Amino acid sequence: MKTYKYYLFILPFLFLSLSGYSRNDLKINQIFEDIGKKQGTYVKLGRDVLSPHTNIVQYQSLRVCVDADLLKIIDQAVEEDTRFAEVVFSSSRKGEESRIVHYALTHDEDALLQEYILFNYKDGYVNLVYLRGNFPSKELKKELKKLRNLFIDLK
Amino acid sequence: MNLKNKDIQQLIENYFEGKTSLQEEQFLRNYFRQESTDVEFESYRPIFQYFNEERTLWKHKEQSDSFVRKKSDKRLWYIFALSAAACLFFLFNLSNIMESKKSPETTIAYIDGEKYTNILFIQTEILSVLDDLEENNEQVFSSQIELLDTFFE
Repeated sequence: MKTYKYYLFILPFLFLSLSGYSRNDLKINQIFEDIGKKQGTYVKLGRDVLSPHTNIVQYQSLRVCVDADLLKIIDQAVEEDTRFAEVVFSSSRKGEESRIVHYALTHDEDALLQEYILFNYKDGYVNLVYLRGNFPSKELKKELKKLRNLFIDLK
Repeated sequence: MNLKNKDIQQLIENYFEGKTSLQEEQFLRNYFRQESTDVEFESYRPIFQYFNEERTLWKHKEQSDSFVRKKSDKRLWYIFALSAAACLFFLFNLSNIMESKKSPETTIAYIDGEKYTNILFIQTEILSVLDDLEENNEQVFSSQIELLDTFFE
């Protein structure tokens, strides 16, 4: 009798702890919220567009014209979020202030969902993308191409 | 057990003194349950009948108590099973719940602080705004193609 009561007592706590565990607080979410909703083009794709066509389950992007201060803020947020991330792709041109970096936040290739941050700075514009999906980092470019074609179709 | 009246008298005396064994008590109960007993012991009959009746009532009560106890145990089990099922359902759907929180149902776009939602719905519902929205829609998609192109060299 006491055992049942014990289980009934601990189960709600189990829920709460698991719910808390799944929370994800990335700094770039703040960038999307604070900057994306005021300037530039911020897009948060819905499941209506994503789920039937791609393996991406979550997609947010921001294209914004930046000055030195804003670039620094975005850089810091990305740096903080990608401290333990794996660089999947990186490219920078000498003499030009341009760089492209693809980060994989989830190291475990067997994990159900992988998280990625894509950062691009060129000609005074920052393109920042956060996406999650059930595909490994080697298929990131393929998924991005799929998404690109999807936009062409939608257009 | 075939006892003489003298032995029965002795048993009755022992009974009231609390010296009888369970077997002897059982004998006395059965003896007074008979339709006819010796006249000599007829005066004891109501007492033993009363004991018999009480005993039967007590047995019924115990059975009914045990039934109620079983029922309440069963009820507790149901509550426990329901809680466990609810937990499992919640856990299995946790990722979906979190997903639905993170991924909106429809596409949302902010262009220079202006919010655009449910583009397809508005396209069909408000024809007058269609052109503007299509422009914006196109603007969103064009910007995404451009944006994605920047990640390929």
